[in-house]
Amino acid sequence: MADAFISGCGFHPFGRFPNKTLKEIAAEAALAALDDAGLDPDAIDAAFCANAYAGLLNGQESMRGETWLRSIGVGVIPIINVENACAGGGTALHLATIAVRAGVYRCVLVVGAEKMYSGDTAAAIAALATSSDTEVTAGVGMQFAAVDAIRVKEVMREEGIDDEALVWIAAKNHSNGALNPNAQFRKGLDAEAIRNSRVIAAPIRLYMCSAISDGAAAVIVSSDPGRRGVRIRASALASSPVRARQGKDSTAVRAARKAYGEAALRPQDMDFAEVHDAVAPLELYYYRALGFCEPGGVGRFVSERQSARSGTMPVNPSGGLTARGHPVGATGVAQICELVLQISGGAGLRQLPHARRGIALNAGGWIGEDPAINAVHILEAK
Amino acid sequence: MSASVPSTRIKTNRHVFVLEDEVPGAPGLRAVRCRACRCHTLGRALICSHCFSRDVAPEAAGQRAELVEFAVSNHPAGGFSAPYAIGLICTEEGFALFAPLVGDPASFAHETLLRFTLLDRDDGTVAFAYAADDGAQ
Repeated sequence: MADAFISGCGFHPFGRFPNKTLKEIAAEAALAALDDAGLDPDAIDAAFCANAYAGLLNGQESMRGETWLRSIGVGVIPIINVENACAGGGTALHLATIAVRAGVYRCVLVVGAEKMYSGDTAAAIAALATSSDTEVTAGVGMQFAAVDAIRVKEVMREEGIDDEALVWIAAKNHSNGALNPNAQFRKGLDAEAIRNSRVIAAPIRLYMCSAISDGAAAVIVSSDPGRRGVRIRASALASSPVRARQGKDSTAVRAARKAYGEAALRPQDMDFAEVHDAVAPLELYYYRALGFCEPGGVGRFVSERQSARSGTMPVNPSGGLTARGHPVGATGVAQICELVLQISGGAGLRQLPHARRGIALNAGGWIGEDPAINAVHILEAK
Repeated sequence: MSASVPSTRIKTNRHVFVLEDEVPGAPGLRAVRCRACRCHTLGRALICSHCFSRDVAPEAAGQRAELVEFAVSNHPAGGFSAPYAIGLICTEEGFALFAPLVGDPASFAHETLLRFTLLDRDDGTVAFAYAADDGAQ
């Protein structure tokens, strides 16, 4: 099996862009990735385009990628549209990786984009709620803020963690986001502001939550290391287990195990991570699921500030979903961009001193007892 | 009630729960029971999720459950006015699912025993929820 590399990455900043269309946002990120790789659009053999809600929020239910890429002169090549809730970006990268490793394509564009801001917050929240088995969740009162609050409370109870740990994680991510020019929130909210923000679903407060966001991210996956020269060491995907028969391990644990196995690496071999903090305190869950600490060790991991940029295992140096933003289809690709920038030494003010190898976990939707899908990627310097 | 006289009441979610007259064992969560291994599978399943047998029959489940964790949401959703409580519960058959809770949130805690209950809503529909099972042993 051939190696696959990321040879370029690009962004459209995350935030609210009422005067831009989804097409413009996506195309800008795609073009930035091509420029970063030093490629013309004709160099691409195929494209995988991730988006979740354009049908509900933008009126473009099908052939989204074709509409995005037309404006940068891309046609003829296979353009594959990918939908997998919030994990669409990670899923698109997984498919691109498979294609390049198999030798089917040499150079693939992966774009994730979402335009959620329309001034109608209720419409965006209703769209997010469709990332579940709606036949089961309709009329039950399930909403993601409450689901995340329940998951966080479970970890807090199991690990003996107090509310201040949650505040610290959110402040950490806002502090990181302040150094990221593509982040939605760059004010660096401090602990007091977070502690005093209104309760959404206790213990989750407003400034612990990712916000409705527009944005796009793109990468070039190729058989040639190219300018960035970042190798995709592992690309793993797992869906929610049918626990009655398939056991207790969560989607995240399964996807992480696959990725570590594929890479023949251990958690302690990672230098940093990007994880799916739809609410910042969910990091507590991922510290354990990704093996950064043993069960029972999460409280100590936090109290020792190991996930800070100056810590032993920096988590979400980009600001994470909490501060960078969470335009759903773009998120998984944005995580990969952060890994690429850190590993190639291009992360600017937030550059980590030791970033040879990183791991990203992108989660999507909810079904059964778990996120519906988790994508885990491990990237390293070539 | 006889299964031959279906209810005319409108449910908030016809896929998740069943009324007294719909299937054996109702009211409760919609499920099927496997004639081969006797285990339940949640929902309108065509196959037993434990042994893959196709010999399954509708049978309500989830009359009793235990609360794993819960949250009080300050935003309305699914026809529930805020604040409302929603819990991750584990039924006596081992199903884990999110379900609305009724009663004083202060009465809920990890491992609180719960019972299935039906709620008549102001709009005329009938919903399901779980309440603290005060009579539980």
